[in-house]
Amino acid sequence: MLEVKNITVAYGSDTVVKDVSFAVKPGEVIGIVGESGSGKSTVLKSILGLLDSRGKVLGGEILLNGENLLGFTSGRMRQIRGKEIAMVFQHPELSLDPVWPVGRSFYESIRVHREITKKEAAVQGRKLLEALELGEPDKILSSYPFELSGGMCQRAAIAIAMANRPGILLADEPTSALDVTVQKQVIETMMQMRKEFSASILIVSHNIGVIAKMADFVGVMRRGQMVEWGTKEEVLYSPEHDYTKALIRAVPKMGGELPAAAEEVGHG
Amino acid sequence: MSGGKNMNRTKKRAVVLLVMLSMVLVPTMAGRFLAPNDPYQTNLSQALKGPSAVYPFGTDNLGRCILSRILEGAAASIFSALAVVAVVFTIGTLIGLTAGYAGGWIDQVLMKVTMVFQAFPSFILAVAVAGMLGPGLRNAMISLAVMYWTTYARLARSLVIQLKEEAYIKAAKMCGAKGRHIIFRHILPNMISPMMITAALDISNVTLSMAGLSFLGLGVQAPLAEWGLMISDGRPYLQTAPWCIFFPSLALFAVVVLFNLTGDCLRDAIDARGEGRADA
Repeated sequence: MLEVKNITVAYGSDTVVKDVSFAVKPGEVIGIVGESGSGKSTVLKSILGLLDSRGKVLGGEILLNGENLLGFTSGRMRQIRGKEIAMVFQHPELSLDPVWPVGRSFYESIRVHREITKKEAAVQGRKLLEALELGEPDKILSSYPFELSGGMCQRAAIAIAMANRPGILLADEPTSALDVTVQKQVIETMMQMRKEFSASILIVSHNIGVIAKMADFVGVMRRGQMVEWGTKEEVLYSPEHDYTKALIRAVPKMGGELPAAAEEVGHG
Repeated sequence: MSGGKNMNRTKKRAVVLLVMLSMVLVPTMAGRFLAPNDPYQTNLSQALKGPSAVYPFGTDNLGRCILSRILEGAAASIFSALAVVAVVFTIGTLIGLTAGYAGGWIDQVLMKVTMVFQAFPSFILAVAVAGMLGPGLRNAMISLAVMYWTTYARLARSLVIQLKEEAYIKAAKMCGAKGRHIIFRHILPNMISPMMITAALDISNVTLSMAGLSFLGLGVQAPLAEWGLMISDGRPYLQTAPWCIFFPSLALFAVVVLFNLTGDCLRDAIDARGEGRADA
């Protein structure tokens, strides 16, 4: 349903994404890994047509159900954002308006796309939070972002992103700002979302563990290029590219002998 | 814990100040009815008399009751200041919001215009405008508005530019929100508290400037009662009848200090909330 074909993106004269292609099919979870600055977030921003002011997509196509999003007017793009493709961010407590309770954010994000009463939005919000087993839905809906924990905030943000039932959820480092135990809950919430609404997820992270837990297909990006692409098993368990191998080696393992591992990194 | 204690102190201070402010504002609002004498009744046989039972604050050079004139003049002094602040708050915010959100050449043009206004020492600009328009309460208010709007435009612009970069504004855009939605539902509510603090602190400044214009003869005209004008009129009698100048000055002083402290208190209250937010 979403197909990125050979896109090249530049900020000014710096090309940050080179000739990247991949496809997201209904219900699939696609993970893109890569270190900071590898261009993964830029790919997500290009899909939504919201690159920073100096950024520009120089070539390629981004097809949503066969239509090229790059040719859309800004008005039409606005209808896609949130409705067809929604997004969650790295810092949940910063991506929710501090002067709104969660319920209000929920209501407003629906209202951007269609008329709805506050009451109805609250009912839908409660249903969604109940489906996600987030505990006390009414309490969450009436809380301000700063009253919630980071993990709860992120899970609420995921629920808000799903409010308009988008087919695709983009996630930009959704767990990186959270501690490990909470990361697991957020991952579970996202996977539940996929089951509940059969949404596809495109997740970008530098955390291979997160990608390994969630993704069906994995892409590895380095310096703006997709160096490896395949199923999770192919990429993570029998990587071909040296960079992927190095990346996987760099993941600290539980129970591993630290001096030996350090030596291995030193030699590699 | 200490944050909570501070908050309580701020709250207590706010209550005390609001009580004091209402003690000053309510009588002045009802000035006409509370005045012991007709503020415009001249009586030369009673001119420049000291405080007495009939004239608690004494009489001026034309034998008018100073207390009555202070009460009568409060409307011109305080409420015109409130009106000016409300107007510059609205205009300045709109201009700053437009400049900050639109950016580009619109921002350039609007900010250059603002700079031109700021290039003059502000009170001199007000005096010049008031002098050009001619004396009178309405013209004095216009000239004060010309003097004060730039602060709000610049503050609003800087707040908008800062808020535009916030993650939740970007998130709203990625959610498909229109510019109008973002401005009125996200940006405006988030910038309103610092703007309000500035406005609260400015009330006393505007009150003083208004009195200043009247003192110079550019504001309210005789025989209308206004504090600055009364202070100006009382100057020749400073040595023989100091109450002519003392009581209007005291009224002005009290109101300015009260508004200032209330503004400070409001700032503390809002800042405290901001700190709480950062902690959470």
